[in-house]
Amino acid sequence: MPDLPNIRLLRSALSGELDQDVQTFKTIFNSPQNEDIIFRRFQAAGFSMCLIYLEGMASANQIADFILRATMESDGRIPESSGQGVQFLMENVLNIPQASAWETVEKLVEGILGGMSALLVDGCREACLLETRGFEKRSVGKTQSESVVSGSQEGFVESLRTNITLLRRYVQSPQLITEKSAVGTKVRKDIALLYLTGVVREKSLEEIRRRIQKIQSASVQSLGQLQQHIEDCPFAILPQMMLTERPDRAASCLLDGQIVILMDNSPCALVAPATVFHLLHASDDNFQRWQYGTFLRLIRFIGILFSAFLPGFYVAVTLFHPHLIPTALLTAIAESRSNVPFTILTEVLIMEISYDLINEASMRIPSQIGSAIGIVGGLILGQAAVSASIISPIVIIVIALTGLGNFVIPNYGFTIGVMIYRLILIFAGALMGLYGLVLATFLILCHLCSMRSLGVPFLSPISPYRRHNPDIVLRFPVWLQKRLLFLARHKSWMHTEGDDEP
Amino acid sequence: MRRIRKIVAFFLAALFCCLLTGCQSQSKQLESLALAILFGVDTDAEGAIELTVQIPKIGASSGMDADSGDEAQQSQASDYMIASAKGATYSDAMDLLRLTIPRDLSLRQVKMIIISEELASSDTFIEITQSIAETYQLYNAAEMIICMGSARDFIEEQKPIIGTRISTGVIAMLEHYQERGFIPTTSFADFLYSCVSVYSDSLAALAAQSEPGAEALPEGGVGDSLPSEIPAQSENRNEYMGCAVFRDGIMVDKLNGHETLFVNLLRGKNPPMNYTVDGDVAQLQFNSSPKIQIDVSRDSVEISIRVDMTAVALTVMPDIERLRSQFEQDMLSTFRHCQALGVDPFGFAEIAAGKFLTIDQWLEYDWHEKFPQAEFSLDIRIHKSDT
Amino acid sequence: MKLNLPLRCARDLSIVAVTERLFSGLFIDTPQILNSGWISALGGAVLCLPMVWLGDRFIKAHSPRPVADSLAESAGAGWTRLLAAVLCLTLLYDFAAVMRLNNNSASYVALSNVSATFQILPLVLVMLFSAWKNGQTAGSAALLWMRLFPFLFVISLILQWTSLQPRWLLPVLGPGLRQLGKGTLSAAGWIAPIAAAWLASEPGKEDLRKNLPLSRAVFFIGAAASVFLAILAMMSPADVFGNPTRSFQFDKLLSNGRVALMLQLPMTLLWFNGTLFMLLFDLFLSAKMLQIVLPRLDGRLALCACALAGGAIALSGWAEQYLVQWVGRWQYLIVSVPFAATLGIALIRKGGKTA
Repeated sequence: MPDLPNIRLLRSALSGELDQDVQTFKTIFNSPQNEDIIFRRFQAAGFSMCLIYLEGMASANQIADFILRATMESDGRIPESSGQGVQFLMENVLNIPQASAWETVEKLVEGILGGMSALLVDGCREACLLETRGFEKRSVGKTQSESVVSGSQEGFVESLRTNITLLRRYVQSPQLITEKSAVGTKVRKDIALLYLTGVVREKSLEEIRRRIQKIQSASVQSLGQLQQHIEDCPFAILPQMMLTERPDRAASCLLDGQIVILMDNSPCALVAPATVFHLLHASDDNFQRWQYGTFLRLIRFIGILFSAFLPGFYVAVTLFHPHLIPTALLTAIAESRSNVPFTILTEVLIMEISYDLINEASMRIPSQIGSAIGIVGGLILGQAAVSASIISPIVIIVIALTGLGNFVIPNYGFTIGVMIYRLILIFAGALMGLYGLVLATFLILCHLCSMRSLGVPFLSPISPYRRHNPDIVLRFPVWLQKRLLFLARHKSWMHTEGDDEP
Repeated sequence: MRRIRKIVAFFLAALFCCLLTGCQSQSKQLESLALAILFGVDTDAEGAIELTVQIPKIGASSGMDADSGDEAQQSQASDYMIASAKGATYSDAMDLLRLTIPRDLSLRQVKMIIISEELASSDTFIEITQSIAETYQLYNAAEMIICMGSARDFIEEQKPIIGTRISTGVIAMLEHYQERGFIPTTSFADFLYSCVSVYSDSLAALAAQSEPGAEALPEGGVGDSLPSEIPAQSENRNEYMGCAVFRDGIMVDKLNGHETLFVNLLRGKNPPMNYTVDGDVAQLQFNSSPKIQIDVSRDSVEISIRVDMTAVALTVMPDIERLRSQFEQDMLSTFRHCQALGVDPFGFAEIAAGKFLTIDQWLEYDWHEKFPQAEFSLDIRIHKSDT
Repeated sequence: MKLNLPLRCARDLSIVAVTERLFSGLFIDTPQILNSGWISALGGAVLCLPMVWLGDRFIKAHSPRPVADSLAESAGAGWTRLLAAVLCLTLLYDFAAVMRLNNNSASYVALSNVSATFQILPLVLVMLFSAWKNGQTAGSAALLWMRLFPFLFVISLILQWTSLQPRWLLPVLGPGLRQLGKGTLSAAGWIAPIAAAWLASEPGKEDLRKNLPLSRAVFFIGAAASVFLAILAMMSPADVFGNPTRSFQFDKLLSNGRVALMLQLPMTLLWFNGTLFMLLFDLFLSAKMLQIVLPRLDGRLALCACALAGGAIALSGWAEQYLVQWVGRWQYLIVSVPFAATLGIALIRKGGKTA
């Protein structure tokens, strides 16, 4: 397997000779071919120096004001024989908030690629990595896929730094630890592991560190890819970790003893371990009064049942168990289907696929003509299909209810999983009626029971049972929720009075 | 090893899919079904069995057009198909019926099973009952109706007079009549279970087509008549009044509407009753089900019944004593009628059976022998109410 | 792969599966017991309690080791394997019997003209895939079903509430003491396979705190089945002269003929799910027993062997109603005698060693 280009140079240390070191960096960065990389040589404090940075990634103003001016106008002189030029500069000259000294070329290259600037000093075997990041980034705005009526409207952005800051604002505790590392063996991507020390289980933490270190992929470009590398059951249909765009959701998971992973250029957070109930709860359930939260949650569960079972149930009942349908409704269905040339299964599949197409198209369509999808999908396809007797109206209602049920699911991954399960259940119902539905549901249930998220059973705390707050299906008042989530460590400092052993 | 596992998994999945195709044949599209709503059974002089079904013709406009008057009636009538077939046995008739109807006959939505009185009174009726019970897909929740006359004629006359659908019309009609108390609530399951159980005898609602010119007022007041004798006229020629009583699964006689009220009362239905005494009318409302106690310790059975009711004056409050006396007489008269027939449709047997430890002891007691000699003591309590 | 079953999973799975087995056995396959099946259910539980209580004491004395290992050490590997072999065969037969029952139910509800092969083989595959995930999964699924079951049951009850007639429970002794005795023996026979759950279980440290888990399970099984049977008995009078085939009994079960047909749905779901848990219990434990008899056998292979054997028995005609009834009466003795003998030997040997 070919190695990274210039791997020997990358793994080398600085020589102390400025020209040699600058040449090393030029080779690594393919300069002058690569015109983005800037080598700014200057004299200051009695020494030759060279500042290396990436145009656009580093802030020119910061470089000009806090590095170049500071060094050039400084009265101080670096002691000649000390070899500690970088330390001297950091302590006495440079007035930039973050600065660190490094010997290895690899570390300096990483920093430059991330937007920092490297200051090489002639005669010094260390170089200074200075925080000068100033690239353009999106400002914090609303979430795209996790909208709520009440509660925080902020969402994660692509900048790792900003995302960490967002979380720190929600969890203002010195126990919140940010562990930074990188993934990808060839092209590295920065990630951050956040957790509350003393609350998170050490076992979960070690496991997740181990899985991240085990990744052998050349590059991991997004949190979604990272999730696929580290999840317990990659062939399962439902996700076993939670991807969320909402800082408040991620913060609440931190307080429950879960681990949050952030990645540069990913506007979301990955939370693990996560159970199925984390995927079903919305963040404004807790924001609302308990009556509203409970009611809305029940509506959501009904919606999920509709989404998963309604088309399959319709197919099963009409094909195998018409006696379960009231006679008046049955004759109405038969009348509406009298001119339809397709079988019930074909009808349902056509509508299901059309619905999925409309769904997918509405996400990809340019916003200028976005409203057209509503007209095309709803009016033309739906109404025209009924008028042309291709589809019966009852199927449109079934699929519409199914679609609505789909949209109440807060987690996008879970939504897609349910859509796949729905297809399985449609076929099961078409082949063997209610019996087939029951068999398929049983199989799915057993599969869910066998799934794990970082070793934690996916359906816990219901099955296997763990003592928990009354907050799984119904949301009881907050003053009744004294127990810390079972995912947290035994006897953690977050436990309060009235909280028995988990 | 992994490759072998994948191959095995692939074959298992393929086998699974292939196996499931065998079940596909069982599914039926709705348009390939003929959904029967009414199901009738007749017999003729030679003992042949005739089965009749009424099936809605499922069309895009069936039942939806806003016609009026006779045209509407004809249009609604023509929305239904009546089909019948005759055979030497029930099975033959059913096979022939399935063969002649141009779709797969589905009996899952049958609302009423109509049996002619002639068949219900014949010795072969028990076998017919078993055959009906064993008919695939004929679920037992259908109402059981005994028809005086031909079941086929009765079914032909059953039209959606009010509303557009027979199915909903039949359910609403029967609920209404059952609420009034002049017919019993008896599904085929009730009938069947009573036939095969060791308790009370079975009964079924009675119906007939009205005869033209039936104008004579019943002697005992409203309900004191059988179907076809009711002095009422409408487009709806099918009349429901009273019940047919059975012993050992064979019909022995009929009870009129008034007697059926008492049967329903003792079975816990509590229908309101209107009573007229010297022209004064009161409605009797029952506060609770009658309290029944049965003493089987002596040679003869003693049945004590206490009935609490409230009389509400509809015109002028009648004399309570006379009202009580009349009520008691009517109740006793109903008991005597049933005792003479040797049937117990009131449910007394179920209460008496509780006095024994085992069913064998109960069967040895032979309720059918004891009940005709039973003595009744009635405690009728009527409270007046002006509201 | 080693099949394992934590004790709490064994308890949960047993409660769900054995309650359903007891209920179905008494209602569907023992119609001659009329409306007094609830007495037999209680009686059967009482008969089994001493056996299970001994098992619980054994667990408490030997925790937290797997019961099979403790028993092999106490009574000897030979006796343990003998007990496991008996239980394996019993469960295999029960697996086949329940498959036929399930097959009859499916025929009644939807698939009347489909051959038994096409109905049974998908069932075998589904059970195989479910049991493949090992005991923790089976126990978790059972626990989840225990949470969902009451909702469906209450809905069914409310729908049929007006049909309930307590007087149909009388005469209390129904068919007489002799029939009740036979029913009680059959009931005990259907509960007895819980011994396999005991033998397969692996108590954890947390189970040391809990007292008599399987005894309490048997108590709950008897009580629950008794309540279900009593409620069902209140829905229709004792059927002395009828033809109580499985189809006839299913019809009574699903709607008692009075409820509007569309309301059959909750009962249908309850019934089918219950039978699936029965099958999972039988298949998993028979494979585990086979693994105890042949310790080197891979768990997955054991599952495949048991699933195919059970399917073959179901299709062969050996699991018809009359045979199941006959075997049911003897099952209690078939299980309890070797169980008692093995535990007795364990006690004597252990006593001999310590003496």
